[in-house]
Amino acid sequence: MADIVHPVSAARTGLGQRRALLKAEDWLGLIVVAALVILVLAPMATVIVQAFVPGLFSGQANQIGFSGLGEVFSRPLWQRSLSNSLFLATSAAVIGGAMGTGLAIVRANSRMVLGPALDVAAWAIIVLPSFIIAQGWILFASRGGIANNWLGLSFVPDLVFNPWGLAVVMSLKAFPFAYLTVTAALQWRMDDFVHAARLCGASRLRVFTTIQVPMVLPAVLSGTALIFIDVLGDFGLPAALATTYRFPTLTYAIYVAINQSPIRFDLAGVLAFYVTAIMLLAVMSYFWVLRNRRYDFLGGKARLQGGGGSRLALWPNVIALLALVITIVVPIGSSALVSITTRIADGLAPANLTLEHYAFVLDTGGAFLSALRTSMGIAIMAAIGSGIIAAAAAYVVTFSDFRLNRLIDLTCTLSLAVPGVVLGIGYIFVWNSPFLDSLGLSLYGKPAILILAGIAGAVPIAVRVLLGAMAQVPASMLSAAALQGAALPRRLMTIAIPLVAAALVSATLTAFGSAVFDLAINSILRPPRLDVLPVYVNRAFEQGQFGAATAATLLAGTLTILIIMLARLAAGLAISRLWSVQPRRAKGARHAQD
Amino acid sequence: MLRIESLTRRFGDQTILKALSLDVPEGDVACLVGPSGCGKSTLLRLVAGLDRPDGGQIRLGETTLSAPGWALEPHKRRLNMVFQDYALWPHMRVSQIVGYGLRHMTRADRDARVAHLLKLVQIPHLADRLPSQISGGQQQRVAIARALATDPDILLLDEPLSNLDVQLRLEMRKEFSELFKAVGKTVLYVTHDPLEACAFADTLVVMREGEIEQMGSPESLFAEPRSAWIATLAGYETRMEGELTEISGRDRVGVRIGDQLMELPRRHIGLGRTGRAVVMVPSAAISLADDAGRGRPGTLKGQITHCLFEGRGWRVVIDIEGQPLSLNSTRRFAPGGWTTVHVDASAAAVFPQ
Repeated sequence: MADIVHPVSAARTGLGQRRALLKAEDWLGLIVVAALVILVLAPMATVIVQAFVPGLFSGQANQIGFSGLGEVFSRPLWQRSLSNSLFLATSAAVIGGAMGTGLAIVRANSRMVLGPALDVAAWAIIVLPSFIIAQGWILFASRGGIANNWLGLSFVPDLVFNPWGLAVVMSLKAFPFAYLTVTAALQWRMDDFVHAARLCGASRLRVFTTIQVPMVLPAVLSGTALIFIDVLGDFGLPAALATTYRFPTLTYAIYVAINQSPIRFDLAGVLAFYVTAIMLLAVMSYFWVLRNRRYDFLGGKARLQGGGGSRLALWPNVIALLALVITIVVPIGSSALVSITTRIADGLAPANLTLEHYAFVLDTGGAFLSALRTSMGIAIMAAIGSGIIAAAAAYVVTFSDFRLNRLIDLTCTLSLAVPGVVLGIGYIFVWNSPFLDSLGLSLYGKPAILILAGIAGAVPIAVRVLLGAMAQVPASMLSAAALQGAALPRRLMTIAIPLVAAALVSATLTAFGSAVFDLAINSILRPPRLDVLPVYVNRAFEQGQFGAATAATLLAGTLTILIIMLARLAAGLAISRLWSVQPRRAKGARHAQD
Repeated sequence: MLRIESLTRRFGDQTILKALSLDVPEGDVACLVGPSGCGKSTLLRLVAGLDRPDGGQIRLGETTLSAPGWALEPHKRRLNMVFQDYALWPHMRVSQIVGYGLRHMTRADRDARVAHLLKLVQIPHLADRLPSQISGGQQQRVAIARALATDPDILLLDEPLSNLDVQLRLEMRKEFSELFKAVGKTVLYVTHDPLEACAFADTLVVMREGEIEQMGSPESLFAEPRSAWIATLAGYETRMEGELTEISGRDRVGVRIGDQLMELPRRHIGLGRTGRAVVMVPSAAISLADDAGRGRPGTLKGQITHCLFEGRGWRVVIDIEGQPLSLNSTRRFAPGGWTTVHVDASAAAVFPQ
């Protein structure tokens, strides 16, 4: 018998054997898992462990136990924060869920001219940072704001600045989650199911309550759960409200714990644990409610929902217009108006219009430009980092049988629900720990930690986007490349990446856009004396420099949108060149024709 | 020589390949035939290195390709594959696709090889096209050219004709036969259609539930199927069940179907003297008996239950003692009438039930 010449025959023991069992995809998977451990799992683990051993990672160690967790019941501020957060998240989930579902039903049943605008607005509201929308509402609804001073609507401040008013404001920010999930569920017509029920003698109302509503219920529940999670972890509203109306939430209490003397990382950790626990509870309840509720009602006869009636039908258009005004025009319009107004109190008059706020932010000491430059740089690096990690994670999950695929998928899914504030606290525990400090790896207080946190925040969404794109690529295309002798790097660069290029560009640019304005991460992890954009805007707002804050927001927002549009255009051109359908002459063809 | 030894593959509780062993001599065309889920594509993927076995090993010459929990990565094996969906990269042109595995060559050599292969598969004029700009049959030729480009020791084909229309499929059988002869490679070809395999196979490997049920030349497999199941696969469409009966002659066997007796050649080794038996007959071996033939050995009497028009003729279904038997006829018969059929005993096969 001749010698076996495969590479592992000589090393079938110990580490050698384990290494031999790993394919290139497994190595890539291990790198992805290592990245997720550093970026997400380790910080989250420290938050959980720290709740039972307060101060373990911050040098303020106490005894192991539940004493830290119990403090929420003895501190009035924490109690209020907890109840406020739960109230806000629950009521916004109900109000926003109903609003999103209602608008989605109107959208699906009408050909209204404002339909596409409603779709774009829903995406825009999700992408817009909540503190910018909240600032817009404060500028509109506060005593000294536009509604009272310009429009004479003196009842508006009382209407908005109460717990229910804030719940409605949060609903207006978060309703798109329900709108988009329900719109997707209503995309296909369910005529046969409805007709079958009608032929069984059911009335329209009974068909609606027993057929149509239950069939879209999973989508409604998804949207509602997403709203709850988004609002519970939101930091923008309490940050924007800080000087106007006292309404502490858990996320804001965390921020206060690490920004007021004495700095109490241990207490911030306990609060972060509560937020995490509630999030997980919400996610688990959501999965429990949805168990066995999978409806595969899409068949070969499915048709796209076209809606009915005239494009200019009155009621659908009025409802859509009202929604657009309340959700986008009021907050963003208020910010825009304030940015070109000398004093809000002087009303909307030509003499009161000015560009001095723009000149101010562009001139004064270069703080804005410095903050903009820093945030842009951090966002670019975070976007590239998250694009690379997300592409690797999505590739491994889609095309390999790596043993930890489920861990990767689960980590990316659950970390969608982790608020920036909680992640930030976890980062402090990890990167400020005495252990890493002794190794010289303490990143707390350095700009690099913002990049890492930015990547961590963007990876879950980027992975979702790329998983969808990679699911459309047949595995045989990668197998074919492997059989042509292409090793993993070449398979990735020449087959996988070109085929999902458009999704990769979208994921990367989304990460860039969200990292520029991430107030929570920047507020918690920003090194002292480092100017970053969201903190610059928020501080100007806190100091009552509303004109400067709004001008800075609009300048940075416009620049971000321009960069995204230009990058998308350039990428689109590159991709379309790659996919050009015009035959061109190639050397191979010349040989073939010789 | 491709040597597969006790190859086992499990997915959860299900064992897809059960210690399967198979040798394919160098230059042979071996066709794996069997129904969906029999494990033939899994076997092909294991040979290609796209999956890892749980037990057994695969060797090519003196090289071990796979062992339990381990597999030489696909890009390090000297084999190539034509996929069922062709797996043509949509963002590349035909010449780029075919030349993808020739990166080690100089540009001039690569172009020359691509041109040669495109000529071999008769599509030199499509070098500049994208996959979306060519037909299904042309896509298949590109996939074949790509698989041949790397000059593999083994060529693997996974149901390559399944996406083509009937006419093109018939043409491609002939072309495959010529191509395999021309390239002289060891070929492992997966199909669920034994007739397709017959056109070019040196060896037919019939698989069922993760095991090899029968293996041999196409002629032997069609002439002497080893089980009723293989007989069905080989085109023995009519199945009748009966009781074995003692008759004179050691090489003959009697099967009583109801009150009627059939005398058939004893081919199956495991067939006893008594007990239940299954008689399998190709439709072509059944004909309507003329008046002179009635009552002779090999004839059966039955009642016509259906007469279905099938374009070129009629399919007559006859109830023989409660069991349906069908034959082709140029005439139409009225259901309900009685008739006598003649079964060519030399073409029939008997198996224990």
